[in-house]
Amino acid sequence: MKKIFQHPPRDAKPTLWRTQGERENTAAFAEDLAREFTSGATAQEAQDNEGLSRRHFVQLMGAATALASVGLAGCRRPEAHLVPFAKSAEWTIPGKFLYYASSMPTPQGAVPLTITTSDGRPTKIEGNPLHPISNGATDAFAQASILDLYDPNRSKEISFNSASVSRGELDAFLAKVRATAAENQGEGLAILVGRENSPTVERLRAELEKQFPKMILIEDEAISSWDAEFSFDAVLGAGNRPVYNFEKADVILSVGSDFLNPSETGLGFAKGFSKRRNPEQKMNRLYVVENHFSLTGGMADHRLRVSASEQGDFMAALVNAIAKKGSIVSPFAEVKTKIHFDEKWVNGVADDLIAAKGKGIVITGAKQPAAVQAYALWINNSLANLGSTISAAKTATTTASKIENLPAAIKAGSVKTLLILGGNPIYTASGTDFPNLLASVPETLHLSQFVDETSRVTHWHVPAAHYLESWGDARSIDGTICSVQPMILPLWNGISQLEILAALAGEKVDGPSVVRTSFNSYSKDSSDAAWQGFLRSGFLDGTAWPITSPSYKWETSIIPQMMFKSTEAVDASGDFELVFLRSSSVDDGRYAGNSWLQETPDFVTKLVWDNAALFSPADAKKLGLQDGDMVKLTAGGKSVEIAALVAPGHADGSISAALGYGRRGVSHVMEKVGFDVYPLRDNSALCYRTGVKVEKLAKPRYVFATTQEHQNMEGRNIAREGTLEEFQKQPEFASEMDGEMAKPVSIYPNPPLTSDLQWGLSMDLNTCIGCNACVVACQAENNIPVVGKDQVIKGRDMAWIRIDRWFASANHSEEALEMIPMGVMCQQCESAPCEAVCPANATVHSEEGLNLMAYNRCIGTRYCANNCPWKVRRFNWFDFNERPLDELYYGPLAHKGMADSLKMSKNPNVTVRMRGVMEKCTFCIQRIEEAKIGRAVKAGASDVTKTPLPVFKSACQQACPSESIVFGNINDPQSEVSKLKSNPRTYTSLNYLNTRPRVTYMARVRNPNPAMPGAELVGAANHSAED
Amino acid sequence: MSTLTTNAEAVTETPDLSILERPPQVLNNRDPHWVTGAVCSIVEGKTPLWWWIGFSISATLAGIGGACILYMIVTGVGVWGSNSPCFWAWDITNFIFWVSMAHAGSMISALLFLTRQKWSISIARVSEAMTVFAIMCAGVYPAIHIGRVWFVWFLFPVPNNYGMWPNFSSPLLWDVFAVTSYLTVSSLFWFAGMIPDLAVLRDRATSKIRKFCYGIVSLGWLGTARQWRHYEMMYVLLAGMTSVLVVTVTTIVSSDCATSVIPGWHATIFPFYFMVGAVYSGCASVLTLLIPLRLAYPQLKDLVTPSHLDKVCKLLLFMGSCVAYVYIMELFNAWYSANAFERGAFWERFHGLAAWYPITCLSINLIVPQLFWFKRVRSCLPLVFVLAILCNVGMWFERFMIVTTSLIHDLLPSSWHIFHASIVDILTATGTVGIFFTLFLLFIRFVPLVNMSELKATLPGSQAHHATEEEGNRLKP
Amino acid sequence: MSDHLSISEGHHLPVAGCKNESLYAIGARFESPDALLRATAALQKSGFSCYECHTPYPVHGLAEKMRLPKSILSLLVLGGGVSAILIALSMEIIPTSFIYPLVVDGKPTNFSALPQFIPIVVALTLMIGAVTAVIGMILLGGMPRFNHPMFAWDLFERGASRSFFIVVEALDPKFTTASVTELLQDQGGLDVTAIHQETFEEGARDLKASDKE
Repeated sequence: MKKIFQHPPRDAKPTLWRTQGERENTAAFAEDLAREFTSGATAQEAQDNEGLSRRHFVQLMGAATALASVGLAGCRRPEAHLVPFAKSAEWTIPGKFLYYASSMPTPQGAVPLTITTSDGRPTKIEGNPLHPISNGATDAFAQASILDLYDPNRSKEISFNSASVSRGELDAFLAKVRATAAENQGEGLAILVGRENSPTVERLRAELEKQFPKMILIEDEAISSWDAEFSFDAVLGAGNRPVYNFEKADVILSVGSDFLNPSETGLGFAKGFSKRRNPEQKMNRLYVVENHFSLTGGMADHRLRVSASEQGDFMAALVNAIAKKGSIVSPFAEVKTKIHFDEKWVNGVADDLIAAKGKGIVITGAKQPAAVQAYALWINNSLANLGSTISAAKTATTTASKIENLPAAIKAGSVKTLLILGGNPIYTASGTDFPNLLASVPETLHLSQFVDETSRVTHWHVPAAHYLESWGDARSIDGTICSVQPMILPLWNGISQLEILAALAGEKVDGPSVVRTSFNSYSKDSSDAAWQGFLRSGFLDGTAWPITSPSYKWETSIIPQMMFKSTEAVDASGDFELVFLRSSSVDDGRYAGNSWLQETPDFVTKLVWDNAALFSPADAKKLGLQDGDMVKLTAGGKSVEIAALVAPGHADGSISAALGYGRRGVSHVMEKVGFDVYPLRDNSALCYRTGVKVEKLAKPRYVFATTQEHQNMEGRNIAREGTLEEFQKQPEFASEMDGEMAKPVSIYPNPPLTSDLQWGLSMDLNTCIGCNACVVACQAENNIPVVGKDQVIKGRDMAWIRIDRWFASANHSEEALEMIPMGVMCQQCESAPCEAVCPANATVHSEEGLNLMAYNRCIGTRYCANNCPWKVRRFNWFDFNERPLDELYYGPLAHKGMADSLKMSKNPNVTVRMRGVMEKCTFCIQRIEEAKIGRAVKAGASDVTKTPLPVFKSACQQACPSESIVFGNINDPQSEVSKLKSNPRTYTSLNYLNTRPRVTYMARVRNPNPAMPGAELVGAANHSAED
Repeated sequence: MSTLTTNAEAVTETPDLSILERPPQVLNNRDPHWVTGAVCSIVEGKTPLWWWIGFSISATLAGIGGACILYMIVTGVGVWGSNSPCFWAWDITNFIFWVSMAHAGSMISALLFLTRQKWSISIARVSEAMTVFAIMCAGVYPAIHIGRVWFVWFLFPVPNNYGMWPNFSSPLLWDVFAVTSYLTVSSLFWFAGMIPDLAVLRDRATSKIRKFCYGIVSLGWLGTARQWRHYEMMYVLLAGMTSVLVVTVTTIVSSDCATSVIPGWHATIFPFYFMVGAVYSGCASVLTLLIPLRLAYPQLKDLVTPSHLDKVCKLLLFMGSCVAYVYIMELFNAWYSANAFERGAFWERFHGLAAWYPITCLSINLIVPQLFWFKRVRSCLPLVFVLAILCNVGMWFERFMIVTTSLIHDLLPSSWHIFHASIVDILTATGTVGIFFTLFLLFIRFVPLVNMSELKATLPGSQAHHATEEEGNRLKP
Repeated sequence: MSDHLSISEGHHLPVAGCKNESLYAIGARFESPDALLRATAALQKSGFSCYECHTPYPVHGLAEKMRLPKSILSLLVLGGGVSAILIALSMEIIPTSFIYPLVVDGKPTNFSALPQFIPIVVALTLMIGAVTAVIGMILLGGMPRFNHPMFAWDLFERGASRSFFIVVEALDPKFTTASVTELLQDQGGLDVTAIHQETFEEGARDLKASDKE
């Protein structure tokens, strides 16, 4: 029986429309809707079958263009012509993707991107493969930012005193501001912006400062690295920033720096670092000193737990050791370390660094005070790392002052008009007195995507345009200028910061004109061709910061003022320190409205929909705390209630809590999510604060949702690791671990898989840092629904690829604790246990070795999932796509249907699954099929199997910053994946089951320093199994 | 009865022979006519109050269960507590529990019939009824536990234009066929065995409606020699096929677990495991049903004698010991496999997230049946009743343990997750209990509880003298 | 039953059913299986063939006395079972191995996949076998039949659960009312009665009558 799809009733004037027809709600459209393919498409289908005669071709192009032109107007493609990034038809073909280059501005620097648009709506974000920083990789935030674009909770209208007003009134207001500012040279005008890294913004800001000299311009970011910058300015010269070349470094010491976290330091570092993790070549060695387990700590060969406030002392001790051993005179002769560190540890590191003179890197986290940065610079300089592994980049110096100057100005009454064009200070600066002062400002305006905490108190609220909706440009972390071009007209009349600044500066805004103006200024060639080239490639070559060999100059005079500049807490009576973390899910809170990220597990704790106060097991024991116990943290007269979580490998005497949670009344996604720790944070303690009192509250235990509840491998060799020494002795050490279960036999011959394409995937645990990029990429690519905290607690999360994070400690001590992240997706077993047990033949094998899943054939017996050894199958327990998450249990009484904007975000090539069916990783079969069609077209009459496939990657592979996921055709001996599968480190997980997975893992190899204490415990995660 | 007196003389002459004598089928030398009256009076007498009470309670439970199932179907399987990795929980647990309980019925009525254990006759009908109703309860779950119930027909080989054809290597499909055929065969066995008795009710019927209804269901049975001849042949054949089912159905159901790769499920001992567990729980439920029945209808005391119950207790003891053996073997195999995953599965079962399931299960099933070694226990019916109920509880926990603890501690510790039953789980389960007792009470009310014709045929003196030596062979086809 | 059937002078036989209907048979009641068997033997000896014995439970040796052949039901069931096996196997193997072979769990689709087909074969065989057995029994036993003349004999109805009946049908070539009555009475048959088919009205009246009792 043929199922006629009943379209939901369309209201007379829909807010979003697919075509002009739907907008006017014409009968013709209704007819089109009922039909499965539009006329143009069907015409094209016909062509695909028999060869394309000229006449047909003309017809087809006619149809396509007609459709395109309708589609263009309808799909709100910007009128200004965009130049497609990829090799692609000049005009869009329905159902075919178009790829555009753009970039995502972040405070750390723009992430260069390739945007996939289908029929005029961006549906997927990938890295820009041409850009040196990205090489096609992205981080989780960039992957998820597409959802922010379509978020139905975004603010949709300009409001003045919470009454919606027209755009005209806003323009009038801005004109007035400009006029008054013009009179009194900007007296009383203050503008608060985030760190945009945008040349155009800088140009406009300079313009404004020129026009209104008295104007106060403030640049603020909730999470900043001012201390580091201060000491860089002081030591390396103003504006000079160190550039770490990890691919050159043999020995790396990271003190409180999570440099491998792509969202922290941009994508480049992970890539450079992982290049040197190959045990077959010279492998680098990583020492990490940190207070909580970070991605970097997980990769460490030697890791030392030191609370953030003592890391400075550690550096001092190290300085002393190096000075002594290398007989170098240190300017910090007077530095006396309060705490005594394990001599062997410090000396071991010192020796190793000295031995690797010129081939080492000492990097300190942005959290550390300027002095500590200075120690690092001194070590790097005196060991000749500066200039070899570390070069310097001359960046633009900013004239903007910091937010701590603002309250003074407001108190002085010198601020009449405050335009907050970036950030959400009421929330992020809630620890300071800024919130109370804001009320006293006569005229305030806030530009933001949500009606958030700040917008609620400012007079004006202006909906901000998403970066996929607006023109702009931004510098990536290496300074290269990237283009930001709109993929779609603002869905809800969003206005970009550029427009407002331009309006204030009196510039005419017309599409890209503002950006074009600045392009002409920074591009050597300002021709249209160059401009189009800029848009096409997405960045402007040769605009990276000039790399210089760093000039190291040191005056002891600056030591006092850089000593613990902003991080020394005022009162030291408390016994704990509290470290403010950048959340791996919501950054500083800016992504709190993004449900994909909310449901993306924390790197280490695997928490979703929450943050927590992380305690070391010892402290938790001392305080009698268990997971979920409510504690009250008090410091500086302020206190916060937050649930505690015991974090293995955490430093004693230290508490870590992620920022960005506990936002209320902004969007229902953020409601009842986590705890806000900003109140404990003020300008005197931005990164961490000591003297925090902890008090256990007699409250009911808070329930956390984690995606992994058991951290211990229980002696099962699942994630395998060894030391470099072991590897050199026995390269196959990983597959050796199978022991007597190594050679399973099959009692019958398996039917041959005949296709010339046999898909396989290899995952390198040695370079996988566990950064979640693949997880979110998969969610975006495969239309994976979000299930909400309650369902995650019930164990019903839907992620197709999950990152299992294993803790292992050879002697069960905190000191020897190691972390191994391991991505697990459907293993595509050649003899898949899930297939045999499905009574409806809903999951069967393809000729290409894929474990297929036919959704419309699945009746949901869930037997396949039971029988899946890796438990990678996901079941639609409810109608997650059609019902609101808080009404899942209402059954038919719940509201039905998905927000229009969210419909637009779906990947048209992937089915949106309904309630009651099983789903799982398909190796991105839609991409495989696209490639095969491409190949067939290319082959034409000739033999298809001889034709090479178009280059394509699975979503996870494409997103991976450290290139540890490699997917491809294992039938082709030349393919990278086949090469990796013959690598000695390759092993099959759960090999004894003889399901012959197509996914194989490459064991992790650690490179311990024998001179270090506890070196024998490094890389011994599986040894407990052999005991 | 003359025959009886002769027997009595024989006894007085040679007392030692009395040891060889089997205990009488029916106490107090009741004659066939008395048997007819005693059994029919239960159906023909007026409905007692306790029946109405019991019926309304169980019907209510069944109704609530039905409502829960409806809610589950329109909302999603998520209303149950199942999760990943524990995708099956109470649904399959209860399915196995009910389908297993059914087995004792078939065993008593078919296997013991074939082996000419005449004592089984007077309790066969009740056990068969239990079988049929238990299978009905079991059948509820495979039908509704799936995610998209409206596509359940994908399970059956129905030619259709989707080109859908079921996957015959799936144990779940085997279940579908096994349970369907088990239900069909055992209900046929049950009904066919009832025809002569229904005819008796028809003949004795006093009201027009009763006469009409029993007339229809007894198919116009006249008890002619020809009919008896075919009837007896059919009975033997059905008994044969049913006893095959006793073995095959549990084997097939056990393959749900045994053919999987999950440690704790993947074991060759499972068919036997399920089989003995099945008969064990079945005997327990037979006892739980018979003991109250004897109280409710004193006339049954002569038909269902203490020696009957004693024999069932012994059967229970035997099967219980087999179960204990399997428990120990399972642990031994896990240890002997020297496989970290196998060992881990059982280690976690007793130390892990849900250690109390197996501990409840083992503490009951290892201890309770062993009490039946003592004659004093076996003969104290109230105690037997309580212990029997305990055994059923223990068996439910065994099924629950097998299904869930193996899943919640599967191969990758990263996916371990505890299971919590939801209220819908619980109400659905009690609903099936309600269905069972509703049907059973109706059965008491409208169908003779004891196979009269077969019982009468075995009464002393019921056969012609010169036929007595053939008596043993009467069942030869 | 007021009216009687006269067989010889001053000798009358009670009649069951409606006299207008043709005579179906003459029946007699016996108290013990022994009496029944003796009477059967006598009937057999004097060459009666169209007679029937009604017993509340299977009486052994009766079939042998009546020289009834062995029931053919077992053959029917064998047939049913064998055809079930064929149906099941073809239903499984033909699509899975020939029409639409799929790679499932890397298992072979040829005949080495046979083991996985067995459980369903067993289940289906037993099911169809059982159905054949029951239906066969019903049909061979001349059931369902709700209008049998015996129902007109209220004595039979009342006694069916305790006593034994022999009914000699009028169709029997050697049948004469007198001889049969005599023979049955000689064998100790009680309540010898002439049985007629009963008409619906009379049946209704009888029921009403029985209601009053």
